[in-house]
Amino acid sequence: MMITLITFLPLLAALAALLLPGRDGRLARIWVLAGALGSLGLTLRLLLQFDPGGGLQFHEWHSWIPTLGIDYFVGVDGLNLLLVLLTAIIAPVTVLASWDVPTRQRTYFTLLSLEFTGLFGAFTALNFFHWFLYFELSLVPVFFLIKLYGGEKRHGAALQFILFTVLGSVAMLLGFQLLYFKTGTFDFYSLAAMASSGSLPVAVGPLYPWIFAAILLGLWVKTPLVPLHLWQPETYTQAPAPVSILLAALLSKLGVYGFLRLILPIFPEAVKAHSTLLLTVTLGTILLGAFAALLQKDLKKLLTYSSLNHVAYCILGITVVGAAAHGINPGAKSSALQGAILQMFSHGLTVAGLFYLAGRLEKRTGTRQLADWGGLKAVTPRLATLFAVLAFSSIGLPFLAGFASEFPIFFGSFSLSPLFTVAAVPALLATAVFLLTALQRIFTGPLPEKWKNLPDLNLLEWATVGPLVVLVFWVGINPSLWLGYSEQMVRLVLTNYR
Amino acid sequence: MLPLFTVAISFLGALVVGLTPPCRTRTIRWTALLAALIGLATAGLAVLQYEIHPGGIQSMLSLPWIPSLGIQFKTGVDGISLVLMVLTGLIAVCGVLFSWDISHRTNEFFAFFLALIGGVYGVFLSLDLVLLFVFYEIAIVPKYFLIAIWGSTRREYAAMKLVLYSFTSSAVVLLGLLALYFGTDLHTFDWTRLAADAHYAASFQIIVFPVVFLGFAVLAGMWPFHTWAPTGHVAAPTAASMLLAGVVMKLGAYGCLRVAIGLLPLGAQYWATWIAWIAVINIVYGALVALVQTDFKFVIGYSSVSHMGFVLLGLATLTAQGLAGSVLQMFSHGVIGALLFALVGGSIYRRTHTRQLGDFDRLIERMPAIAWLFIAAGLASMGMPGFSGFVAELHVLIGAWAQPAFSTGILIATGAGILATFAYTLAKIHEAFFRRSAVPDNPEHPRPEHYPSLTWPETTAIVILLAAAVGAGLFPRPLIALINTGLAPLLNSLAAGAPSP
Repeated sequence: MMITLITFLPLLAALAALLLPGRDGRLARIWVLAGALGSLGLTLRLLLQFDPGGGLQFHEWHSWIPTLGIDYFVGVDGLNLLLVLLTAIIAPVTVLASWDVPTRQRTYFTLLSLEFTGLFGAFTALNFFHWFLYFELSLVPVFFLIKLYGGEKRHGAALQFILFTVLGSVAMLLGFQLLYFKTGTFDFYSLAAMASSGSLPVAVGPLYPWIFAAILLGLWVKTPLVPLHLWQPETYTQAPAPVSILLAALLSKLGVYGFLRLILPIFPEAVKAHSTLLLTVTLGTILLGAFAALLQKDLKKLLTYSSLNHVAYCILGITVVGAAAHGINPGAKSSALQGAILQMFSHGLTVAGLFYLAGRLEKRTGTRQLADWGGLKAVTPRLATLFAVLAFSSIGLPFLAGFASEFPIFFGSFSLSPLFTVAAVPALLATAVFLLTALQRIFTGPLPEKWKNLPDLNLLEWATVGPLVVLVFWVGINPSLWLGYSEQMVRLVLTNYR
Repeated sequence: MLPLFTVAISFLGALVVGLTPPCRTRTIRWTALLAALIGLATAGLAVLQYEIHPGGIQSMLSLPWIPSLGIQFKTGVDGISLVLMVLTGLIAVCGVLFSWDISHRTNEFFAFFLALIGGVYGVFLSLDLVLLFVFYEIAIVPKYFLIAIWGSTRREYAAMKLVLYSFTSSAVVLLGLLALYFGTDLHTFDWTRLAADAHYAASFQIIVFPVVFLGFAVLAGMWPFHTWAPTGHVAAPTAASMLLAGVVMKLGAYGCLRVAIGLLPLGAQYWATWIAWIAVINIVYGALVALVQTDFKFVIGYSSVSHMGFVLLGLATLTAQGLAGSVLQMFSHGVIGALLFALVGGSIYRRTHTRQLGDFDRLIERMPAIAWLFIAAGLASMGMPGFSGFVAELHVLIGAWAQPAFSTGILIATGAGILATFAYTLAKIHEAFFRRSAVPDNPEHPRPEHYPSLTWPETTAIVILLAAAVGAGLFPRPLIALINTGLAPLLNSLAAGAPSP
C-alpha cells in the first residue's frame, strides 16, 4: 500500500486544492505542500525499511485488465529507489519555489500536484501499461504549466515540447504493442526474465530490432540525446522556474530510467550489437551540451545545456556496459552502472538547486542575461555561496555529489571503452570553464548601481534550497552508502552482459 | 423481459411528454429526465441480472409476429447489447440535462428525443432481423425533426442529407437481410437460428457480406459515405449531436458486428483487409480534416469520423482483442464524443454565441472551468492513457498486430493517424482557449471578462460523462467481461470457418 499511497497522496492534494473552497487559491498551495510532504515522509520511511540486498520490495500486484495481460504492479528495487526519493525531495521544493506565483494559483498548484502523481507513478510502475499511463500523464501538467505560466515564447515552447515527446511516445507505444503481441506480457520483470533465458529474441523473431528502435526512440527524445534534444533549450528556458526544476531534475530522469528498466534488462542483445552507435550518440550529446553551454549568455539556457551534458553521463554509464571488451577489471561494468544510477540522483539535486537560484535571481532582477549582473556577491552573499557549492558539484569537485557519481562512471567506462571516455574529457573541462565564468560574471566584479538593494535569501528560500545543498554534501562525503542501494540489482542486470 | 422495459419506458415517456401542453416546460423536462433515468436504471439492472457465466444471450423473449414470413418479436441481450444499452442510457440522461434550456416547442422536442432513444434501445436488443430493421428505421424519423426544427447551420440541408443517407443505407441493409433469408432453407429471420444453423456457403457469404456491411457501415460513418455525419452533427441541437455521435453511429457499427460479421464470418474474413484499409483512411482522413476546420463543432464532427475508424478497424481484425476493442471503442467514443459535443455545442456556444475558433479570445481566462473540462475531454479523445479511449484503441491495435493477414502498412498508417489526432487536438485546444483573437471586440457586445459559470444540469451531465470515460479507462474489466460473453460464440464460428479462400 505504501507506494500507492505515496503516488496518490499528491492527487488527493490536487483534488483538495481544486475543489475545497478558499479565496484566490491561497489554501491550494498549503494542500499541495501538505500532499508533497506527506509523500516525502512516507518515502523516507520506505527508504529506512529498504533492504539493499532484498531485490524487489514493497511490491503490490493486482490483476487489472487480464485480456491484455495488464496488471497493477508497482514496487521499488535498486533501480528506482533513488528516483522515488529524488521525486519526493524535489516535489516540496517545487511547491515552495512556486509560493509566490502571482496569478491563478489554484490552477497552478493543481497541475503541479498532478505532476507529482505522474512522476511517482512512472518511477514505480512495473507494467508497461500503467507505466505509460503515468509517463503520458506527466507530460500534460507540464505542457499546460508552460503554456499558462511560461515566458514570452511559452506557446511555441510548449508546442515543441509536446510534439517531440508525443512523437517518441507513439513510437514507443507501437513498439510495446508489438512486443506484447509477440510475448504476451507487458510486465517488465517477466520481459527481463524472458530476455535472460533467451526466449525473448526467439519469440519476437525478425521484429526484434524494430521494437528496440521504437522504444529507444521514445527514450531518446525524453532524455534527450542529440539530435532529438532540439525541443529542450526553448522548453527549459521558457518554463517558469519551478517547472524548469521539474523538467531538468525529474522528467529527464524518466528517459534515463527508461534505459535502465526497458532497454538494459530487456534488450541485452541489441544493446551489445549497437553499443558503438549508442556510445557515439552519447558522446555527441556530452560534447554538444558542454560546448553549447560555453556560448550561452542567458543563465537559464546555460544551465539547460549543462543539464543536457550531465544527463548524458548517465547514459554513458548505462550504454557502456554493452561495449565488447576483454580482460577488463570485473568491477568496471557494475561501477559504471551504479554510478549512472547515482548520477541521476546527484544531477537531480544539483540542477534543481541551480535552476531554483537562477529563478530567484530572475525574480529579483527581471533578467536572465549574465551581462546584466555582476558583483552580486556583495549584496547576496548567501545566495552566492549556495550557487557556488552547487556549481562546484556540477563541475565535479570531490566531496560533492557530482564527483561521487561521475567518478564511478568514468572509472567503469574508461576500462570498457577508453576511446570514448577520453573523447568525453574535453566536456569536463568545458563544464568547468562555463560554470566558473558564470560565477564570475554574476557574483564578482563591480556591482551595478541598480542592484544595490537586492535582498539576500530569506527564510523560505533557505528552507527550499538548504536541504538540497545538505544532500549534495552527504552524497559527496559518503558515496558508498548511496551506491550501495543499487548494487544487487545492478549485478542482476549485468548477468546478461558478461 | 426486463431489458425490453427500456424501450417501453422511452416510448411511453415520449407519448406522455408529447401530450403535455408546451407551456408546462418544467413538467416536461422533469418527465423526460425521469424517463431517461428509468431507462438507464433498467439497463443497469439488466447488467446486474445478466449472468456472465454461462454468458450468451439471456432474458430472451419470443412472441409470434408474422409467422408466415418467419418474423418474430424476439428480443434478448448479451454482454455487447448490454454495454451499448448502458451507453444509450447515459447519453439519454445527459442529453436531457443538456436540453434543459429548450424553450421552443419543448414538448415535441423531448417527445422526438425519447422516441429516438426508444428506437436505439430496440435495435440493441432485437434478435429478429426484421425487428432490428424496424427499430433501425424508427430511429431515423426523430433525427430528421430534431435537426430540421431545432437545428442551426443549414439545418434543412443537413437534416435532409442525413435522412437520405440513412434511408439509402437501410435500403441496402434490407436487401442484405432478404438475401440472408433466402440464402438458407430455414425460412426465418431469427438471428439466433441463422447464426447457429444457417451455414451459408462461402461463395454466398463473399457476395452478400459487403452488401450488409456497407449498409450498416454508412451509419457508422465509414469513408467515403461519412459526409452526412459532420454536417448532421453540426446542424443538430446539442442533445441530438450527443445522441448522433454517442449512439446512432454505434447502431451502424453494431449492425456490422451483429449481422454482417455474426452471420457471415467467412465473408468477413475475405473482406477484412479491405475494411481495415478503409478504416485507416477514416482515422487519418478524419483527423487531417479536423485539423483544418475553423468551426469548433466541425472539428468534433470530423474527430468522430476519425474515431469511428478505430471501431471499424477493430471489427476488421476479427481477433478477440480487436473485436473487444471495437466494442469498447463504441462505448468510449459514445461517452467522449457526446461530452465534446455537449461542451462545444452546448456550454461554450451558449456563452459565446459563436463557434468560430477565430472569435474565441483566451477562453482559458474567461471560462476556466469549461476550458479545463474541455481539455480533459480533448485529452481523453486524443487517447490519453487513463481514459477509456486509450484502452479501447490499445485493444484494437493489439488485435491488428495479431491479425496475420494485415500488412504492417496498416499499423504504420494507424500510427500516423494517432499523430494526426494529437496534432488536431492540441492545435484546437490552443486555438480555442489560449489564443488571443484577431477579431476585435464588438463595441456593443464586448466579450465579458468572465462568462457565466456552468449550470447544475450542465455540471451533472459533464461529470457523469467524464466519470464514465475515466471509469472505463481505469477499470475496463467489467466492460470487457461483458463484451466477451457476446464475442465468444462469434470467435468460435470465426475459428471454425475454413481459411478464407
